[in-house]
Amino acid sequence: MPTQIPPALTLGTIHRAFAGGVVAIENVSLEIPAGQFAAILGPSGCGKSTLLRIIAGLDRATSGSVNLAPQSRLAYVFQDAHLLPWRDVLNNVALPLELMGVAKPQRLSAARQFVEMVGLADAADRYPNQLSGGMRMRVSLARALVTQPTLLLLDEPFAALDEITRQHLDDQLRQLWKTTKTTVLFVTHSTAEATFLAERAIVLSKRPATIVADLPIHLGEVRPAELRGEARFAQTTQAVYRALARGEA
Amino acid sequence: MRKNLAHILPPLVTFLAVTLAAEAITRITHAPAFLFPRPSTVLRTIVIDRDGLAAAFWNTSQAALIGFGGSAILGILLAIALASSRLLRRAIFPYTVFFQTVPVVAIAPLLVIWLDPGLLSVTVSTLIVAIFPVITNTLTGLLSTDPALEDLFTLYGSGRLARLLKLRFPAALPSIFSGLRVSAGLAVIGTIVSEALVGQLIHGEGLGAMLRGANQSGHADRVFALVLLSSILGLVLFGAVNLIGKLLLKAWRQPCD
Repeated sequence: MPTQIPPALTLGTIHRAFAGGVVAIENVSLEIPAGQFAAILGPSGCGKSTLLRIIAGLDRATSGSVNLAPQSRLAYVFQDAHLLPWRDVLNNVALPLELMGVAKPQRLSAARQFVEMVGLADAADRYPNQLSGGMRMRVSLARALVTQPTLLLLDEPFAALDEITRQHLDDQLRQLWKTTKTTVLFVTHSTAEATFLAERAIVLSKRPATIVADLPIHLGEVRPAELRGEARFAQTTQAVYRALARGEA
Repeated sequence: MRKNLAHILPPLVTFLAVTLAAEAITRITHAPAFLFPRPSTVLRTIVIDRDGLAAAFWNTSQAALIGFGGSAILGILLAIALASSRLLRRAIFPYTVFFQTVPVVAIAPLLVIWLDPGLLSVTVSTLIVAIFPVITNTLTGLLSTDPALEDLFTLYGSGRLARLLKLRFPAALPSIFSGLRVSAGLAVIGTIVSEALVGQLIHGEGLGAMLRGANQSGHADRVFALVLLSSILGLVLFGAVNLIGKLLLKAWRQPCD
């Protein structure tokens, strides 16, 4: 009975104006059902990050409401890995649990589990400066997942990586989402990435950001890497692209 | 080993070349020894008075080390306090510039009167001379943490102490060490100048006091010998701080993003 589960997130007419009078977000209302993988698309600098920060409580809306499902646990993945350079992989992943006051044996065993989940078991005792960009991003992902979040917020997490690494991480993220069944909000400016990953594409206009399209993406539950070469993938990407182009106009 | 040699050899060669050139020039030009003592004379002075100079070197080392250690601890603590509050920063920081601008020559005599001549007055002047780079560099380091990491700590409900100990302080360490390196050099200068002003120490004479004596009696060879020893002390202290920093900050060496 999906209707009885409260939505993971409800945004009510969010409005955000900055001190200089620049309006970043205008009248954004949104409901994200629990367990959904939703992509937020928009032109660069349109306020996507600001919206994500407002949801995470790192920024405040000028007006409007943010309602999270009761007992929500949030996690946030930034554009770059942002690891602590003086900590090895395992202790970087354990950091959120450490800050939440989880005892050392528990947090280390949880961290080990998620380091394995992102495929870095062999690199657990390495330091960030000994890792490639893709590996660092996977550590960042493991660090977000270690608290078993109910809502995972990702802010263009793979934008700085090369295309191959990026597609590989997209595949992995999709897998992780299927195993953890967490709700995901994924900010990107890539229509192909959004189409491959998400069940739903929420397209924002250029600043001030408003929702110009909210498209369901019917590409099935299982999405192998080969999907990217199929005609239906290209068509869906085109549809998302057209919505994005409308918002830029 | 080969790498160490590559670091040590070039400056050593420079030193030997300059010294030999000085020896040659002073011999050829018959420069007056009270103005330009020959390096060989300076070396002989060091050998002859090795016991007295070693004792002075040790006394000065102690004072410089205590003064430097004090400025490191106090400077870091002060910077942590300043970093914790904008109001405190506005109220206090301008006055820390005092430490940088005040000439030790002006305050050392007063310190001697307040604290009696001796180790204490010398170390306090050393501290005053050496503390400023520690304060500014620590403060800069503490205040320039990665904003995304600050957000991460906020997201997981980190308290102020955990934020300081697990994020800001370790992130500031490279910056703290560049402050300490500058401070190490200043500490030696501060100690020698204040020793020269204070004169005889209670526990024995330091390089600075000897330097004043040698200058007043016109023993240029002794002056050069003492300057050489002071430089060695500065070099050793600077090198030690540098080495500790390098070993400690291995993981920091490359920026991670």
